[in-house]
This record gives sequence, C-alpha cells and structure tokens, in this order.
Amino acid sequence: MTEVNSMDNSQYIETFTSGGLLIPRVSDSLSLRLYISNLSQQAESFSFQLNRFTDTVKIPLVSGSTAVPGEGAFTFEFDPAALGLAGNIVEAVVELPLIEPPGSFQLQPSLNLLQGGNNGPALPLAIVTVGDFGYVRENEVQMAASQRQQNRLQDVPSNLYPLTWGLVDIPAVEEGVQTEVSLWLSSLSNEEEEAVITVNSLNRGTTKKRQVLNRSVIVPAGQAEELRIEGVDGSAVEVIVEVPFAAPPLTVLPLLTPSFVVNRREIDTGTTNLVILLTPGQALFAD
Amino acid sequence: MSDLTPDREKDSLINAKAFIADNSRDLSRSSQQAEDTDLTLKKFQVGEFNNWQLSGLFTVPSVDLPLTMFLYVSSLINAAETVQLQVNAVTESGKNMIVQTAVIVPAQGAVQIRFDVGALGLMGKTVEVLLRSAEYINIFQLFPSVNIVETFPADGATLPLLFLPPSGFQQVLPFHNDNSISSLQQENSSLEEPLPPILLTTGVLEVPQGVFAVRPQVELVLSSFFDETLTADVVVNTLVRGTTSKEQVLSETVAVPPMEARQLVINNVEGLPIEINLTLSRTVQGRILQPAVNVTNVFMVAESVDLVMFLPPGKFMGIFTEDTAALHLASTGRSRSIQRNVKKGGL
Repeated sequence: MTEVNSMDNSQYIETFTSGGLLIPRVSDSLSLRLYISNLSQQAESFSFQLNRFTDTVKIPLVSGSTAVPGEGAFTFEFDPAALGLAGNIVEAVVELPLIEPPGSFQLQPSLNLLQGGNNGPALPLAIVTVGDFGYVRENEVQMAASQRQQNRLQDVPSNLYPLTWGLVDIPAVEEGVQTEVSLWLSSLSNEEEEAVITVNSLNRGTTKKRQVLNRSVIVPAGQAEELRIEGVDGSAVEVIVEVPFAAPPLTVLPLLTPSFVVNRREIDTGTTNLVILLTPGQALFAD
Repeated sequence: MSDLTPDREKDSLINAKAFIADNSRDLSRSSQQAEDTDLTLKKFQVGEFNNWQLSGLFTVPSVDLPLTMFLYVSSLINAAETVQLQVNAVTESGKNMIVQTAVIVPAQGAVQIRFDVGALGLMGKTVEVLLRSAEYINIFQLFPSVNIVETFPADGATLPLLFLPPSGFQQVLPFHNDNSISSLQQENSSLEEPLPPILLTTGVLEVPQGVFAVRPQVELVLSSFFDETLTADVVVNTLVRGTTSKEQVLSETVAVPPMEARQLVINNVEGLPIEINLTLSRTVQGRILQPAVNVTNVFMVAESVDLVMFLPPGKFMGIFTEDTAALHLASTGRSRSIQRNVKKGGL
C-alpha cells in the first residue's frame, strides 16, 4: 500500500491563490488547467477550490482533496466557457502541506489558461507559475515560502540548486508553424559554469511524469547558452534547472540565470510570436 | 543564435543612442554618459558590490508591424538615484551589449527609454535587460519593467505583446556576515506584532491603445482570505510621455468584506503607461488580501473580450516604503533599518 502524507491537524497547511483571473469571452474554446506536481518520492495530499467572483461575493464552484503519487502530478481541467464563466473572474486556491524542513513544499502548483484547439493548437493566454501564486498566511505557520530561498542559501557552499516554474502547457504542432522550446542560461560569472537540466513531461490523463531530458550544459564565462528542448509539443512539461549559486557571504546570487521561452515561428512569413516567457524571477526552489 | 553581423551590431548601437537622444530630452545627460561608456561587455565580478536586477534572456517577437521596446524604472522614494540600464543580445559572437546607459531616476518619478526594435535589428533576437545600482539600499525601491508593444499604423492602435514586471526580474541580494536579511525576516515573523502597511506595485505597464470598435479595459481584483473587512488604498499613476513625471489618475480606498472579492475598473488610461500601487491596511507574513490585474480588449460589435495580460499576485512587488518603515520603527522602537526587508511577489 502506498504511503500517503495526508493533511491532518498536526501538519501545517499553507494557502496559495492564483488571484482573480478574467475568463475572456471568445468564440474559440478555452481550457483552464490546474496542475499540482509532486517532487517528492512519496504521495502527498492537498486540497483545492475554484471560486467565481460576482460583484458582491466569492462563490465556490468546485473543491476537492486528493493525493498526488510520489513524483507524479495531478491535473484538474475544465472548460470555463462551457460552464458559462465567460466574462467572469475565477480564482484557484490550493492548500498544500508544509513539510520539514520548514518552508519547504514538495507540491508545486501552476495554472494554465489556454485558448483554441478546434482548428489549431491551444495557445496559452495566461500562465500562473509556482512563483506567481500568492501566498496567504492566516494563522499558524512560522515560515514564509519566500524565506526558503534565504534558508537554503544561508548555510550553503557554492553548489547547484534546483529551480522550477511548475508544469506548463506547450502548444501542439501546427502545420506551417514551428514551435521552438528553449531554456536559456545567461552567465553572470567570470568563470565557466555548469548547470544540470531535467525536463519531465506529464502523461495526459494520468498522474505519471516521465523524464524526457536530463543533461548538463556548460556556459562560458559571461556568455549565454541555449538548450533546445525537442519533442514536447502539446504536452505539459516541468523544467528543473540546477544552477550554481555563489557562496555567501559574497552575494546571494545565481551564477547562471535561467529563462524558459516558447516561440511560434510561421514558416512562410518568418514572423515569430513569443507565446511563453518564464523568467528567473518567477522560478522557485524545487526541493 | 542571432545573425547580427558586426556591422549590423554597430548600426544597432548607433541607432540605440539616437533613440535615447531622440526620445528623452531629460535623458540628454544619460545619453552622453552612454557615449562615454566602454561598450564592451563587462564580465560580472562575483562579490563586486553591485546590485542587479536581471530579466533573464527572452526572445523579442518578430512581426510585420512596428515594435517598440519600453524600459521603465519607477521610483517610489524621495530621493533621486542614478542607475545603469543595459541591454544585451545573443549574437553569433556570443552575448554582446547592445545598449548601456546611465539614467537619473527622479524622486517619485520614472524614466522611460524607448527603442525601435526593428531599427535595432532585434526582431526575433534573444535579449536580456540588466538594471544596476550603486547604492544597494535603494535598489529595492526602484522598479524596472520591460514592455514590448506592437503598433498598427493604419489606425494607431497598440497591443502589448510582452510585459515583464519588476517581480519577473531576478533580484540579487547583497549578503552580509551578520545575516541581516534573514534575521530581519525572522524578527518580522512574529505573529504577536502586526507588520507595517506594505506597498505593492506592478511597475510601469503599457495599456493598449484601442480604436473605435475595440476598448481596452484595466481591472484590479482584490480577493480576501481574512475574516474581517480589509482595505486597500489604490493609487494609479501614469508616466507623462516625454517626461520623468508621474501623474496620479486614480486614488481610491477599496474595502473588501470578509472572505470576499472586489473589482475596480481603472478608467481613462487607454494607451498610457501606468503604475498600479496598493497599500494594504493590514499585513501578516503572507498576504491576506491578494491582488491581480486583468487587461482586456473589449470588442464592442462582437461583444467578445480578449485577455491581453494577466498579472497574478506573485507579479506584484511588495515593499516596506520609507514611510511605512518609519511607522514600523516608531511602533516597535527598533532602530534597525528595514529597508532591505524585501517581500517579493505574493509572499
């Protein structure tokens, strides 16, 4: 039987919110996906709630509590337009267990709003990364999630530390359009530095992730390197970038700053559109 | 990789300087400083006493219509500060500096640096923006943002294609042996003692310019997670084009009932660069009132609504301002500076 860390009264719970997201009123189909990715090896429990805002109140639309298998991911997907939510504001709220050491989270939420998919690929309209979620503190918990970055860095030697943005939907293949998925690493160091990149893909309709890439990249001093990620069109991917940090007391400084970029290039015209940009400031530590 | 040739890069540098000079009378001093700057990329020295805010590398869209990149630095403090802005591009020869300029950000003002993306040869290129400050205690009171805006020459409409708020920048915190940053956060983690008001800002973002049948709308949403009514003082400033002055276009206190939400439509900002600042009446180590901004285009005839931009709670930068810090110190009797106690994003 699988061991599950369930949420009980003895465990600290943290609440996070996506903020109020306006659902557009469009003729294309829409899809809203809430992902909870588990980075630990054991199952973890969490709860979620989707609210709709009216002029006066917040109305819970759906809520639930479940467990995510170790190293797996949970997907909650619905069509907001079909539910009559076009033009409304909705909010995803998740409650995650706080584990040891304090300030650590093994469950990483992300919210993706996608448009299209009838005659072409669904394109992201909005992505709320794990770093974009608002942290709500009500009563009990002593550690802010932001502090985990400080915690990690206070007593560390120069070493590799993993950063992630959570699960993100990549547009599917479309005729005449090339989708380019890249991880960029920009060096701030005057020495050659190395990063290790792991890319996981979520198997649709399951809670299983599979590793599609794991490799190291060496970035020359002061330079930049691009790692092109192939074969992930139409899937939800999780990028974990292990980057070196300068050791305190010099600075709290990632020596390689990562950014994740998805471009769609129209082959005939050569025009490109930046459809996803996840910056280093949006990433959080993946324990 | 980019295909900028050395000649093209040189042209780009010249064009960049011309744009700085053309677009900012108030930045004439800055452009002169840029002229004097060594345009080779400086290698960053680890441990050098600099404060950096880094955008990370991103791809500039490549489209048929004109694109403009706006770099903003907005001040929320009462003293002028000099900062250095740098744009690097990845070319065949590596990461190279395209523009470097020093600018003076006036007290409570903002600077805008505007680039014609096409003229600089940056369409489809991979670039990064770097803000550096000499005085680290002020870097968290100056807020950089990047906007890339598409213009439709036929009717003058504009559409933001990219907005990178201050929270999207990688913050580099100077670290000292006394662990002052972390110990201060621990001090403030006490629940017995309420924290001072916190100010949240979006940085300067470009609102689309609509046309007859398309009306942009900016809406602030506040969601409560507390069992008492909370208030937020909302101030919306616009940067007067061609100047470094901010003008207040809205000042309103919004009361949010327990565990409910409120929406505030921000009018008369179409086509303008705006900054949304909120001061929350009550804060704890997290935030019990969570903001978000939705920017939409409303198509009047079709009655459809396109989502142009969504700023979730984590995209707001949260700080204790000098005023709120003073209040805090007065209430606690602490003499320690809390200027570096940065609350980033939704945390």
